[in-house]
Amino acid sequence: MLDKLSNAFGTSGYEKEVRELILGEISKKVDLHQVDTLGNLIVRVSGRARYKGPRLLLSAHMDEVGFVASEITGSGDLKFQKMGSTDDRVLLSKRVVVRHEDSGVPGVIGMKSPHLHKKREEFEQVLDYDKLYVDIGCSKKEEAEKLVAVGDGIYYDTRYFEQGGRVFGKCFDDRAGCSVIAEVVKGSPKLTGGTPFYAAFTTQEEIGVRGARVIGNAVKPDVYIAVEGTAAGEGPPSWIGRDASPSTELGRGPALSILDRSHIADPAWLEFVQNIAREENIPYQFKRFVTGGTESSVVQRSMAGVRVVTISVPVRYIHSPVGILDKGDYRNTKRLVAAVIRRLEEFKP
Amino acid sequence: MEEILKKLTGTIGLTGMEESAAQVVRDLWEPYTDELRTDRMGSVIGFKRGDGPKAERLRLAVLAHLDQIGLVVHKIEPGGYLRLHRVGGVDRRILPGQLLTVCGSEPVKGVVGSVPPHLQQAGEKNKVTSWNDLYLDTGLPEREVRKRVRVGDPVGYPTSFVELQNDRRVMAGADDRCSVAALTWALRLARRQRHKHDIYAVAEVQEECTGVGAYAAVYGIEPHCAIVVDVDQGRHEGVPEKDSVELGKGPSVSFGLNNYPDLVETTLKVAAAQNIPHQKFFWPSPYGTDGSTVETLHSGIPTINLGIPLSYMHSTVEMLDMGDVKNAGRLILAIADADGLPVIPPVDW
Repeated sequence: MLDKLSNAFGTSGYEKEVRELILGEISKKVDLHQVDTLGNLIVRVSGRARYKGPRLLLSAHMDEVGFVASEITGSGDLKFQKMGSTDDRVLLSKRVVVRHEDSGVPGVIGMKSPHLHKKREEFEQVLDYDKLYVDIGCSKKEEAEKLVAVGDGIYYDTRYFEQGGRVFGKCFDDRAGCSVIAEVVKGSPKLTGGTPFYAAFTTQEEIGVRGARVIGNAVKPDVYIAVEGTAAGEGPPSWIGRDASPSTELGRGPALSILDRSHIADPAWLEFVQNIAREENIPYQFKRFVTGGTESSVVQRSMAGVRVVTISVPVRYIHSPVGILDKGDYRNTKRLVAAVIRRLEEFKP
Repeated sequence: MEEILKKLTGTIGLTGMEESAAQVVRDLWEPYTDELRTDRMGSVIGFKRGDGPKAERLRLAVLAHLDQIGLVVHKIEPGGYLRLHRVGGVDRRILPGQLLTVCGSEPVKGVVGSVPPHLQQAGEKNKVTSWNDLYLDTGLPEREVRKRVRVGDPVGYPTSFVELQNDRRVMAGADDRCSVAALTWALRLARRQRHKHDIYAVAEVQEECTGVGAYAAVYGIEPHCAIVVDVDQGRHEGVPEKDSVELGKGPSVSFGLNNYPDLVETTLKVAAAQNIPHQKFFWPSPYGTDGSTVETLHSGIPTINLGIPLSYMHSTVEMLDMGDVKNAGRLILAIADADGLPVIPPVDW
């Protein structure tokens, strides 16, 4: 399912295609679902009638880092704004797709050829995104206006593929999380031992964790897990010693966050998750760099507070056109999430 | 035509390592030529006999370069990360987030690493990533990388071929395979269409770096006249009119400096007579294409430069118009049938 989800289009606020894809995959396994005001897909997976444990909510965000068309120029090119944080340095010479209604219009972010630079210093200048544009092959504004419109979402034209035990693709942040949860739902009750639980596939995380703000109040969980794709800051030896290297490493299992910039995990709940991992022989690691924020922060603030923890699949080069993740890490993240659900009744804080 | 161009850009052949691309050219030219050979430097030379009476038949060389820019592996780092060195004019700013292919004993894909915004140090995003911090990540374990990749292996840009609006197509390596495609088109047309003069079609090696291929290839031909087909800067936002030509308006016919005036006249005359769209382009300086080389070979060869308009030259998203490539092919053949090609009688000093 990860391949389909990675290839799908869904920038912040434009999650429809991803939502429909997920619902199509899991609808048989959920007894209640809702698409709420913010576009979140919330589902209930029913379980044993005599279940006595806490109420669990999982979430993963459907949106990806991308762009939105903000202007069609006289020469038929598209100026764009960023949706979510992107380093301008990864934009040059990339293929993108402009999503207009249900069609995808291919385009490229080009740049002036090196021959046209008059001074050497020009090669040392970072080109800001607002100097760039998407070229779809039109020569006139009127021509482009028939195909695309201001407000259309723009995303990287990256196709998923596997090489060795690793997979390459776009937006594993957070389609990896969506895929883990969707596969656990699909595998229920066999994987989850008949524990009832709730899952939310949320919107607009990349532009300020918007969608997840309401899911806690809607579901009223006791405990919560955010399933994420997080940055693996690995690199060649020249990178070692950077503050950030490595934040997480591929092949060492799911990463647990003790804290990030937005929240501190509930110690008892985190301890429980760790114990399950140890007892089930699932490798895990801690995220070792305090950065970024996840949906744990906003769910934690729901009602009178919710016990939260974040479990992530390590991904190299998140927020760029191509990321890499390890299939073993993905599998182990799924195993850990499923085991926590299966043994949830044992959680007695 | 599209199939020809797809075949030609679908094979990586960096400067000095053109053999695999040369094989594609030989396969394409085989049915269209009377003789076909590969010279000592690796250039492919096809001969197509003219239809004119022997006394009036001139030797016309038509050159397009076979090589393309790219990178080579120059070190395998601990962890299996690959250091890259450029071959030809690669602007390193296009590399972060780029999917490249190592063309060793078997192809291995990789992505050029970039630090996610979450892990960056202050101010980092305003600096162009140095060669020291650029590397290719194949996602494979070091042991596997060392088995499949050797130092010196070429690393090519993506070989995908994307259709945009208006006959515009995007690919890497259009510089200069699109000219080889135009030349192939001319040879193909020549099966049924009269052409007075002998055509020596040359796909020559090493234009992007050393320029050596043209010397050797032309030496054996001793042509009366030469056509050099290469790419010209396509006009897009930020490119001055004087430095560029428009996509879709036909190949450029250069005048000034490296272009022999009588040959320019003849070219313009046949283009007008056969209604072949074209645009005049003033050749501003003897810059480094093979046009400037060929003119000075033997005792001087009357030369004309034809250009196929190409936007975003030397990027991975070079863009051209299919009509321009076809019309360049038509124009080549029209010149091969022209009366009044300049002949400079040799003098026995």
